[in-house]
Amino acid sequence: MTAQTGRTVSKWTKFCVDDSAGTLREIPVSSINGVGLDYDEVDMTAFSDAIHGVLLNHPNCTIDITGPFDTTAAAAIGDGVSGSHTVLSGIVGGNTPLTLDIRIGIRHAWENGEPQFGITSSATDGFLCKSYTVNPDDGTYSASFVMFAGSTAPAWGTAAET
Amino acid sequence: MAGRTVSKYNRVYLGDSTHGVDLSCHVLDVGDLSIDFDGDPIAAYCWGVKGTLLSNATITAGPINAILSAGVAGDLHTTMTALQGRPISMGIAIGINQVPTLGDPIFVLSTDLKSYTGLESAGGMVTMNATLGGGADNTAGMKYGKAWGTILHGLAAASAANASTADIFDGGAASAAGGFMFYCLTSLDGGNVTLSIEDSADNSTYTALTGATSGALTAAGCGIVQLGTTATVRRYLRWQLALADGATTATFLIAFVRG
Repeated sequence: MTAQTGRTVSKWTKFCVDDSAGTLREIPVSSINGVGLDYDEVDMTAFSDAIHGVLLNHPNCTIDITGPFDTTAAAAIGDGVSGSHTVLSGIVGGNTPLTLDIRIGIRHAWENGEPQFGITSSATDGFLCKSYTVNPDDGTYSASFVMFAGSTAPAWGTAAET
Repeated sequence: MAGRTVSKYNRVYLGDSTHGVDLSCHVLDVGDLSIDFDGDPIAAYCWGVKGTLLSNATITAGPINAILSAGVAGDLHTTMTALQGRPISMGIAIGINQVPTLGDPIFVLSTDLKSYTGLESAGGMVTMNATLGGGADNTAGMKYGKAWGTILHGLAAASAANASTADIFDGGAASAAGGFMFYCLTSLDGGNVTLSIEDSADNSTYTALTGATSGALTAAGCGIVQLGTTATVRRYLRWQLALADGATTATFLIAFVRG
């Protein structure tokens, strides 16, 4: 199929992140918060100004996800969804930048040309997994991702991160 | 097994050098099992986005809500009143659609039993609440910012050494970052038992994983045994026991967290 345009529903959204070996994996999610950049706003207002004014400073990007706790073996993207625990338990706390790619399929499985947000990792660019919490009673997890110090910013695009 | 699961397959094991219990038939729920690393995003002038480096880990679990049970050695009340205010070793096992067994995940931590309080009620029964420390007990000297490991021997009785090449766990690859063993012996019929882990490069020849041993145990007890942080751990792992001085059967769990 070719890339589609228009509106969509969440079932076509994929959350992909590197595992501890640096291989990109799709993991199951049920919520994603913070997709995009949020810029610090600095108040520039002086007494004499008629109206409050601001300037934007550095952006921040913290992505929080939740989903089902899952121990399924790692699978190649396209072949299946890897277990959340399988991937997240190996990357939490690491200081090696991770590729992260959130793909929003437009009424079908995502393909190049449709929106995605993320970054392809290098030695100096990418995300870190800051926390990983399991709720053993609900059978769910939550995890938080922040940027590696000095990384370039992730961005919206239409081509897969690698 | 692998996949998703529900809470009826969770199990809670805890204790210290003189207590080792499975509280799963008393526990109603356990709070979040959390690993959180210090690191707040900041930015130097020229950076394109705020970023951080991750530092110290905070590993926490609980609280534990449980049905009051008293009067029997090894029950909830006896154990908790003995351990309150003291360091404990704990493992919360997540069985994947079955009672936790070989290969299932387990969250292991050194912590303190900070409080054991009541009385509340659930379903008409008196319940108790136990809270755990906000970090590792300092006397344990934990070397690892990790908590998720793998069960090598689910809680069950064993009467002979493990010579199997099937009752093993394949870690996929060797590692050179150490790790730590968690054991919980819940019963022993006399004498003593030593619980340990062996590793192998080929799932044929196993030798003792240096340092991964409980030492001789003469009664129920739980503990964490840490390897050096650069110790080599080969690909395959299996549990091992040595019964001595008349012991014939031990009931225990063994797990390992790779560094």
